[in-house]
Amino acid sequence: MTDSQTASEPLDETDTSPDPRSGRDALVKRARALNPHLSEDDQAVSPTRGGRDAAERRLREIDPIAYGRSRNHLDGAVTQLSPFLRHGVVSLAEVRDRVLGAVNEPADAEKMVQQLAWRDYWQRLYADMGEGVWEDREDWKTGFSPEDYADELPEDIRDGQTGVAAIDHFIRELITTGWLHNHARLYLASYICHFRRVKWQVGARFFLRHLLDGDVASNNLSWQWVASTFANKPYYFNLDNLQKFCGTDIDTSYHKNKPLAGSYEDLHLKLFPNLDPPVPQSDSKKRKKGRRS
Amino acid sequence: MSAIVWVHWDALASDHPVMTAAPEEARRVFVWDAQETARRDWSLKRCVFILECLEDLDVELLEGRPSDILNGLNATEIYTAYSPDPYIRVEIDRIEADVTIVKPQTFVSVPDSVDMKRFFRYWNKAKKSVLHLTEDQAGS
Repeated sequence: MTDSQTASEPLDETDTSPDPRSGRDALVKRARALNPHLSEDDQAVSPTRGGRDAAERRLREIDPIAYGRSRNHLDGAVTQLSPFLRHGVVSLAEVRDRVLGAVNEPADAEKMVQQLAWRDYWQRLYADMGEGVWEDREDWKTGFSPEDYADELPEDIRDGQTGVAAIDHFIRELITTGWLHNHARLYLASYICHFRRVKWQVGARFFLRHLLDGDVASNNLSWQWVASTFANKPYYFNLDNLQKFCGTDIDTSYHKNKPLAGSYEDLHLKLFPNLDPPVPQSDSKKRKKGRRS
Repeated sequence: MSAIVWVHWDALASDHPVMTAAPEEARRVFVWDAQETARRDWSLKRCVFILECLEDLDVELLEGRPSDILNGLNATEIYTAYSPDPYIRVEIDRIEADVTIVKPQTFVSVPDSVDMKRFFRYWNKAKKSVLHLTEDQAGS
């Protein structure tokens, strides 16, 4: 970037301040006055600022080719536009047009536009299903019945104190920032649902409480995809996969993440003991990809 | 004739087509429903984010159940943005005035008969429209 470009696009200091509360005292006070249900323990304010200017900055940074290449990596070139799409600050059509405008060939924009299409798909299903998005869309394919899953979120998960370093990292990020990379959402959802055998609805509600982009349709139907009630099999992962996609900021060492370690075959036996022999590893790997922008 | 635009939390944009569909002089109102945010158990950061988005819009912030508040304003026409959310649909049903529901810009055109059981069945039908592909590009 040249000096003249820097000068023509001054940084908005309120958006880049390391303190998420900077300049937002009145907003926090207003939020508390409007919402008596908020407890004093609930103190986190996201570093992501609301409003059109903040969305516009993200639109300007869109890089569809880098996105297509790196989006499954937790440090990849994702847009973080989802909270703004969720609340209609920007529309799917507007983002799509910006994405197509940033490439020479539509094919270069396909991965990113496909992720936008996921949101459209969920919203169309929501229009048909209504509150039905809270019910199992299909049978569980885990060898267990719904009654085998817990109805309450274990405290250690709620507090980010599971002792599994990567999982605790994701939980703390969810609670403090209100945003998680899609792949981290899948890991965390899979951990809650399959490694801890908690009902997907419980995990879905936990996510909706915290995610700035929390949308009942996208959230619940994605949880159902992880759970297997909206997919042909459950989504699970192992430590090798986590290490491949997590970057360097997250502790993915073996001794801090032991419950996640093992081959897909071993984990399948452990997590789904009532099912027939494990699926081949190549099939499991096919399910590693994320699905939202 | 008095018109109101009911701005809700699924469409916090000043350029949403609902704004131009309504008469220019229409009052723009957002109704904060604390019972609903409590039912959803939204955290402080979610509430702050929404309020921050609202600050950009030239809207009055009222409190209560949206349909009750809107009915109390005695408007003859209410304009609001489309949402599939059952909560918003119930509130619209409870509004006594004429309601015009306005959809956002079209993202994709797919036939009503499209198979929605799995995403990729939908995507195969949606791809050409959503990427603005020509017949040649779609076939390649």
